[in-house]
Amino acid sequence: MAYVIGIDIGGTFTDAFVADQHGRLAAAKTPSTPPDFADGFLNAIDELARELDIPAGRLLGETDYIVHGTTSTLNSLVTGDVARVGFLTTRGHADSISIMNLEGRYAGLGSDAIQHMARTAKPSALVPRHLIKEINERIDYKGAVVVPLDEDGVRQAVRDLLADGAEAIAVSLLWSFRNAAHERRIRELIHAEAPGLYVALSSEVSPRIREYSRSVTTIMNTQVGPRLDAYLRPLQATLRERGLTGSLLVMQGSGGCVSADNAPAHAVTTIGSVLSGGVIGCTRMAEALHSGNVISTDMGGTTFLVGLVVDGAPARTSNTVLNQYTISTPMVDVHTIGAGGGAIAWVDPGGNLRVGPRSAGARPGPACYGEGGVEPTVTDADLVLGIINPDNFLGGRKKLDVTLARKTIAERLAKPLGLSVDEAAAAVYEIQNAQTADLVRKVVVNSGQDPRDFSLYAFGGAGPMHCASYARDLGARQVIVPIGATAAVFSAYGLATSDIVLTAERSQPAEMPVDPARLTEAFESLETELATRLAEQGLTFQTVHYEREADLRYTMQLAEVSTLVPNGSLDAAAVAGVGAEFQRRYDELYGEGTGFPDAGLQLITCRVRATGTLAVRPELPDHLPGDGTPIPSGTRNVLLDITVGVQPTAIYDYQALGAGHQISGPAIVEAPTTTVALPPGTHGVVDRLGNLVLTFAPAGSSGLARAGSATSGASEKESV
Amino acid sequence: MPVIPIAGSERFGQSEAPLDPDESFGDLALHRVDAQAIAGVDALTYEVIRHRLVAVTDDMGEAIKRMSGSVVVTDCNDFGAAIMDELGETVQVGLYNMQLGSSLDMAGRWTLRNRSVSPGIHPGDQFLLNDPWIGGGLHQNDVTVLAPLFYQGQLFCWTGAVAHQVDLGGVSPGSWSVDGRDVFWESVPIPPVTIVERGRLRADTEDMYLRRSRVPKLVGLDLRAKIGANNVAHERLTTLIDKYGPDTVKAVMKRMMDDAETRLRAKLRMLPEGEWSAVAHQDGGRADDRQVHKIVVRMTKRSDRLHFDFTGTDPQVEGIINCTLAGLRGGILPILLTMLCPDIPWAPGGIYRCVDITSEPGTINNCTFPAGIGKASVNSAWATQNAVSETVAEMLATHPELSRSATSVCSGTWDLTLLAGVDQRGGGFATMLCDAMAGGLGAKVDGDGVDTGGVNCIPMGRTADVEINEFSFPMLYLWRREEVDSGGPGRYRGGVGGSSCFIPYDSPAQGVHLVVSANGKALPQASGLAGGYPAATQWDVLIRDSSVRRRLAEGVIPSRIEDLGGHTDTVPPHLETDLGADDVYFTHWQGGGGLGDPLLREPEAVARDVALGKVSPQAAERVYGVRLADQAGSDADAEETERLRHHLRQERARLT
Amino acid sequence: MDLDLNLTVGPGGCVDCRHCGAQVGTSTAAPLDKAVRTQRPPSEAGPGMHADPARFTDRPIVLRQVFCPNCLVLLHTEIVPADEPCYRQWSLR
Repeated sequence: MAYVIGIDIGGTFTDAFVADQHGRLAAAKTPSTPPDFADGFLNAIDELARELDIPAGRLLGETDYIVHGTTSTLNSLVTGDVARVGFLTTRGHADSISIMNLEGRYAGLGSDAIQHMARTAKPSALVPRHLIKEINERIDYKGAVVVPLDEDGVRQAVRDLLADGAEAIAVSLLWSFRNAAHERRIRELIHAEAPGLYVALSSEVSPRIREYSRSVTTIMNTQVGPRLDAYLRPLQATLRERGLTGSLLVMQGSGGCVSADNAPAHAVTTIGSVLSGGVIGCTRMAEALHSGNVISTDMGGTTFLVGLVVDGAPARTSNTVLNQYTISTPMVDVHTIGAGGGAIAWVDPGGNLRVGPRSAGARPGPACYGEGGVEPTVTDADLVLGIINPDNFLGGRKKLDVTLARKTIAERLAKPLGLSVDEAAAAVYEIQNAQTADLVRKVVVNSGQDPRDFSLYAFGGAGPMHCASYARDLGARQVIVPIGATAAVFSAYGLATSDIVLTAERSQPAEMPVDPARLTEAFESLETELATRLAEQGLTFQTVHYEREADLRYTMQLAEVSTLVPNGSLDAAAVAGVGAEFQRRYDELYGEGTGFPDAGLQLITCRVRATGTLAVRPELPDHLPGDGTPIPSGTRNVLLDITVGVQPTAIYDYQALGAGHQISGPAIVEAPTTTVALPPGTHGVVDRLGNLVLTFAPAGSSGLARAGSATSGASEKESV
Repeated sequence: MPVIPIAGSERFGQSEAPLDPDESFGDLALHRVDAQAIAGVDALTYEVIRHRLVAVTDDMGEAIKRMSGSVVVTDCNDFGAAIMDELGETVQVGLYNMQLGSSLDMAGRWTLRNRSVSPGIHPGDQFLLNDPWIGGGLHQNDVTVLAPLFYQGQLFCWTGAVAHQVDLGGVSPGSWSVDGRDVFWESVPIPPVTIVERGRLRADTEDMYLRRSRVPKLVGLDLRAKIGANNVAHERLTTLIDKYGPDTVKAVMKRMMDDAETRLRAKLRMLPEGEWSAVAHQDGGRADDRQVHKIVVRMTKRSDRLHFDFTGTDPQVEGIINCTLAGLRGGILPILLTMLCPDIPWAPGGIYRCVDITSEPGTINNCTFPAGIGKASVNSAWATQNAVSETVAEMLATHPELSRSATSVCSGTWDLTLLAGVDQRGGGFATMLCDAMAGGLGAKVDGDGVDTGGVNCIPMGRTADVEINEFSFPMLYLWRREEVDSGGPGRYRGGVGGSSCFIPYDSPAQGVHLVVSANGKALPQASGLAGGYPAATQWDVLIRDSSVRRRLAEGVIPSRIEDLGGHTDTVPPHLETDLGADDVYFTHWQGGGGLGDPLLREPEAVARDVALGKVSPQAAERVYGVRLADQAGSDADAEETERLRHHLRQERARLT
Repeated sequence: MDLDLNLTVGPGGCVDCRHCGAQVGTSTAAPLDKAVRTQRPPSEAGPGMHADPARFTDRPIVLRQVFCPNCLVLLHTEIVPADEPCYRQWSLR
């Protein structure tokens, strides 16, 4: 028997998923155990073993590999619990990481925050000034040495840093990605002073043009590397003691994993470790369902995440923002567009109803949690509307108080707006959904796509309550709510089904057409580097494949676009083909004729992604077929459409639904971990894997449009 | 030769008053709504449509940035996008260059009045203009494309996109001629002309426009970016109107302006009745001008209105620094938005209703044709903004909560460094260096200004990485850094500005052509508040025949001007010259003003500033009265500091 | 009512120093009429004043400051042409 396990550790819950090769699955949800998340990890393993009804030791003994999504890296950076890092850089440029291209004052902030300019600020310094040393050395844009490395200066700087308590050293010199000799020599000099010290070079961590984000990436890697090592090493030892013979793998932001032994050296790639599981889950599910293009929406209690799967592959980005710093590491592109169920509804000083961007967070949370939250949230509105069953929230783990929700909505929204409590709650529900549609549309359109070509997947505790509305507004083809075997632990499912993915990149900015021989050589050297790293993983792969891409841009234009490059030896025609592919992709992204070919093309960065497919890929089992017409478990009053008002609505217990069962809105489907809302005009069917698939009656019957006419206000009130 | 008034040019100047709602414009049918419809919009519909209209201006901005081929647009965010109602009143401006969102209304009104009969305003038309007397941009480089949106045969609303273009002709590259004396030295303004006619780009108009530029292809691309942005907006707006109906969408637009107005009035009523005056100085109106030119403003606040009276401002000058009424408004709006309206919708159409302006035509910030306005945006418009910033911040300082939105003056001017010549690949190039976007922000009532945090009128500016500049242009940086003592001293320090120092590098022509223009050299421009000192003066230095190449070969990267050898020249406010192979250029842009008495600053904060290189030991001692335990900073000597501060308090008031 | 970090409206509508309580102005219409005023060369403002103004203009430039008459806390600073009046004024009704 060979098991694969996915363990996803979030701030509140640790989700676990296990599968064998014969379609046997189990899932577990246990509380996370900060500050030592490893305890929760081990509890989750025990829980899985219980679900499978085998001893934990046997489960571990028969497990091929465990894929771990960890917040360790992210938590270190967010809380500042990082290694004390010394930083060496080119003389004259130490301030680059404090100037932050000035974008650091607002990067990652919403427009509400940016409008309040006097209250915007840069984040605290990445490295204290006294731990930054400038070195006499200079390389130019061609990689030529302008000023040789001052080795004595390096020795002195290293001694000073060590005396100042540096636990690790980050090195980022100008143009090091063109010529890494100085950085490499510095590492030798450091190790001569301090053998075994953790050292990261920008030419290895992020060999990409733009010194600000390259330095930030190198420094953050150095800050979290030692911490990640200190977390994984004992965890792995404990797992071995308990019988694990297979591998411990760590999910990276890129959507593929890496061995735990190899992870600390490339620690920065594990930022986003917990974000990408959901998108990978969607990718796998889309493979199973032949969905092709997917908008992945994960609406939880405190965040709303959006990702895309285009033609079966997750959309990627090469930069991300953390703590207002820009990091350059390839990742699955996951956008945080809102505050999830915790988004606060409020009346602004102009008497307008607003939803978000402030969030009640996990603590105190929505008013209905009864944990001290006094402001109304989206979750409170959902509860008042009857969408959420107060006794069935998070599978009954949390009891909700409708009285508290009604009270705060009455006081803070209904009264100042002159609405009934139901009307106010319905308005919050509609506004949340419309804004979600605006923001998701932006994500989709900005990636050059049309939402009408996509299926929308909705998961997370709150997503399925809202998805029918926002998906319809977007014009998405259909909605898939994955509530089959993977329901509660969809991200953990994604982890268990992932591959080893390693990325290597290097900027080689040059005018197109570049020399084919040099370009081939550049890609081959990246592939050699990746082959070595793949071997270091200590795993057997079913297949290994390399995917090349190059970031190109029009000389005068800002946007670099990742463009696929053919494998093998490249000739002039292939280089021309890359240029043509770039222009096609640019038009697709930004519109026909928006490029400026007269300025010429530049090739900026070469990148190779190596994917090693793992031996076990869990298959999802078929859902039991359903007989006849599904029978509701009950009826309650629910408001799903503001133009219709409260109406008696059929409630279905998901566990009684079989594949093929059909449901028409208005209806509510209650599953152990979530609730699916089907407003009027929504049609639902349970597919063979147990997912609920929603489609919509033809346009024109949208409730919101009718609510929107200026003159219908009076009749609305009567109908509610 | 003095500037001679041009008969017939008055037609292009205009007031800033909104149009009469009942005015008719030829046969044009305007879509209007009545007060009842505006009042009838429910809370839900209002918020859903409002959010979508904001998203539309975001989409416009994205469209411009992606298509533009100019770092000034893509990195510096020097562009604007807005939605206006049927009469041209601005409903929503994007978070870009707020100066450029400040006078699109004037352009819309003028176009309605002057183009509705001939050539007519039709569905699918778009108008191009770069005439700052009419509105839109602040100087000729800011080119506006205005697009009327028709729905069911009626003119429903307008969208406008405006962006800085790198070059539109004139005597010098970049259209900034430091020797200019009037507008005829510059790019000659274009009043609104039909650039897109019933959905088709007009080739004749496009040629007429692009023929004047040194980089016509680049400017042609940006033209398409702006047309594209309007098209994106029109598509989204039409979908919105299809769904909710024209009356509802229009009612929301009107309510957004009403809402902004109502809330700004309510906020003004929270503030005391009074008058606040300020002045802003600019040294040098063109190359070789040694005069100092002033803008004076007296802001009166009565009940729920603000009145800005610029009486006493100097007459327009024979030079390049004047601005038109559009520039003056561009100096007011960014301050109103960031300081008074951070929590109020950015609907200038409503905000302007709370504001009266008195300004005499023919003055430096309300000049008449044909005064030179080539640098209007970063000269008299920016200086107006500095003066307005002081008055609004002082008024806000009286309120415990509202004062949190105020700062001292941010980055006193734009430090223009324009490079042109032959790049390392042998191609021609012209570019504006955007390093100076990293100016210092003014100090707050409860904290220091943001170091290298930006400029006031562009909330989201950027600088390019050194590596991107070195890859793109024939230059090599010796340093780019934050500058000591550049933030205005105070109990709360102004944010520091920075400097760049570079040499021409690898150009087949050896050197590069350099245009420099920045005021604030004779006297500082980013003033402090409540006793806080102004930020440092602007400081640019040209080192001829330096020894830098020898020093580099010897293994040393110089960090100080004194170490560069050669002959050192402090650069005047305006200069056009060539930078030779052994020359070095140092440019030091401004920080933000301080706030409060520097002798009241926490000594530990001063010591920390010294350790971080934000304040020099000399300034710590002479300005802050802090005696350091050692020269490296980090610790203050409490007893000696006490004694020193007592002494300075007497000395500076001349009581010793 | 506090007017800024240094000043407050005292009893009877006069303007007082928040640091020492001394009267700085007899009313909010003349808020600084009892303050001490000085005029010094701009270089006294510190090392941030980089070049001699005479390099760029023939007009004399000065540093003007206003202080509390009692505790000498700094209330106002400006660097302006010496031949100009002080345009930076304020008053409340």
